[in-house]
Amino acid sequence: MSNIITAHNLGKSYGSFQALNNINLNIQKGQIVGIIGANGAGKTTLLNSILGLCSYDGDLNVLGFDPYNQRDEMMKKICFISDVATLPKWIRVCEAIDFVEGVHKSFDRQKALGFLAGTNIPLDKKIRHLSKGMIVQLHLALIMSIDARILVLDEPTLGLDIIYRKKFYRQLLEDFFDEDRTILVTTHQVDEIENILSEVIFIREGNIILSANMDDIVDQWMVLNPATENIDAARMMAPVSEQTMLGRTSFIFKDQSRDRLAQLGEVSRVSLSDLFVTLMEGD
Amino acid sequence: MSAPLLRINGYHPFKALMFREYWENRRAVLTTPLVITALSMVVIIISMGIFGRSIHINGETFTLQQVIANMSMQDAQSLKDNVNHLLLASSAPIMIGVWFSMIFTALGSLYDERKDNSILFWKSMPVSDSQTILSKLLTVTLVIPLVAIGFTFIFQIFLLIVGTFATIGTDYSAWDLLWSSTNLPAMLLREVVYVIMYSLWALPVLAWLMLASVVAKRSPLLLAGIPVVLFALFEALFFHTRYLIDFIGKHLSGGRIQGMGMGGDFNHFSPRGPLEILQSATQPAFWLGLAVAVILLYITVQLRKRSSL
Repeated sequence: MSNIITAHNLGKSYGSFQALNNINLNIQKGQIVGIIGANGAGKTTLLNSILGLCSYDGDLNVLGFDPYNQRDEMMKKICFISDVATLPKWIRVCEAIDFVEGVHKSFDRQKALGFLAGTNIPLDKKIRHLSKGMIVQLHLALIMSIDARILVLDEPTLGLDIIYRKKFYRQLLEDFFDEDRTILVTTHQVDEIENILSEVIFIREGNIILSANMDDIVDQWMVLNPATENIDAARMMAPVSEQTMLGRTSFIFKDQSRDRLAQLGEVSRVSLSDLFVTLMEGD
Repeated sequence: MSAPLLRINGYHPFKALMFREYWENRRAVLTTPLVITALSMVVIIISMGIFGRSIHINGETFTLQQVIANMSMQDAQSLKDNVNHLLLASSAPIMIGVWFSMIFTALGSLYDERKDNSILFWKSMPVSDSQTILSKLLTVTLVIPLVAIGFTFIFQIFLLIVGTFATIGTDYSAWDLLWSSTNLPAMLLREVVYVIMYSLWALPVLAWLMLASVVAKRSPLLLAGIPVVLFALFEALFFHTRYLIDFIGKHLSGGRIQGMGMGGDFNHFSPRGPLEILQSATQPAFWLGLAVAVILLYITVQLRKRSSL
């Protein structure tokens, strides 16, 4: 498989604050990668480095480009939606389409108009007159009409209601994603994207604490809800974490035999948010 | 109104950047000169006497028509000789308005996109920072003033037409008095040359404003102004010189290429011809200014590359 993003000892500091700490990373084509971390963990700094929006130390290679020095060439193949990177308020919908068509060789105007036809976004309105949901829909329509290799999403659905959020990811999967493309996504609503991710990267304080394939995570990590009489037995098996909620105790195990755990109670798949909390609280 | 005219049609990155500047700065490019031209026309129409007598001379009021009818042969000759200059001077309000448009567009050029967070959208597009800044520079230095010249041209023709109406019923013929001594193409050429040379003279100042615009956290105007004031004070107090103020004054006044001796008298108002204006490029100060501008613009490009929010 071919790596489309490789980072070697990637670092970034702001004064004495180390936002990224010698990160090593390999991301392959055809993946949907979730980058998960608390606020200030370094997610956005990592994405900004990949997008060539900030300088960095170490080696970073994205689609064969050096992002910081070759941003304009590289952005022909990469698209980016962020909660903070809004479309300018003064631009009209039709002007935004004209502009993207003007600067992107691979932009397909008909496709964009097709996507917009499925919404109630008026072409002659300025962005300032559109709702937050419409702006994200427009941005997504523009970006899905570019034949990009990598799509970077930084909190793309922040501030959207649940209907728009679901629609956003569904459209992304149906109309954009294929085995030649890669999606990097950060979000706080981990549960909503859990089932579309193929890779996950946990970041804490500028370090990658886990980078794994979703299938491997499901194989390695499991949750045990033991019967009350088996709680002590479960504790003996070295769980990674223990949680009691509403009188029910559950354990998270790593690399345990599924059969042995099943003898103590119900074994289920670990959710990313639980795994995240476990790893963040560990050490 | 502009929708059908303005289409990018396919892959033309620089054209798209220029359109983006027009869309963003429509007010500076189009609305400002349009409004000033329209207001000037209204003022002229009123002063023509449509709404009564409105020209005051020695306590008496006349209409434009009466003034022309009462002109002596000498006055008429003087008007004929100076009609070009008069028309040039009449475009002053438009050009002053446009000068402010240029200054404030430069100040906002790289600040507004950071203020409204759209810089990340622009930076997600495959265009380089130097191309973006070039498109902004061209908008400030050429598009805004050249569009304004179009408006001054319309205004000048309007004045000639108004003057023609004013001669009706007098002993003077409009052709003799106004049209035969007017050279509109030459005036247009002169204005275009003037605007280009003015922008080149003013380039270091405009580049400084753009640099302030890419750096400023709050007010680019203050950021551009305060260091200049401080440096000028420092220079005056410790060295008793005023090089910086002289430099800015010379460049902002376009190397004084306009050559206006505004004494209030027609005969002292002698705008220079296109050749004379072009000759100002032989001054070392012109090239020094361009060198300073190139350095400032280089720094501006580097800073925009860095600043993502």
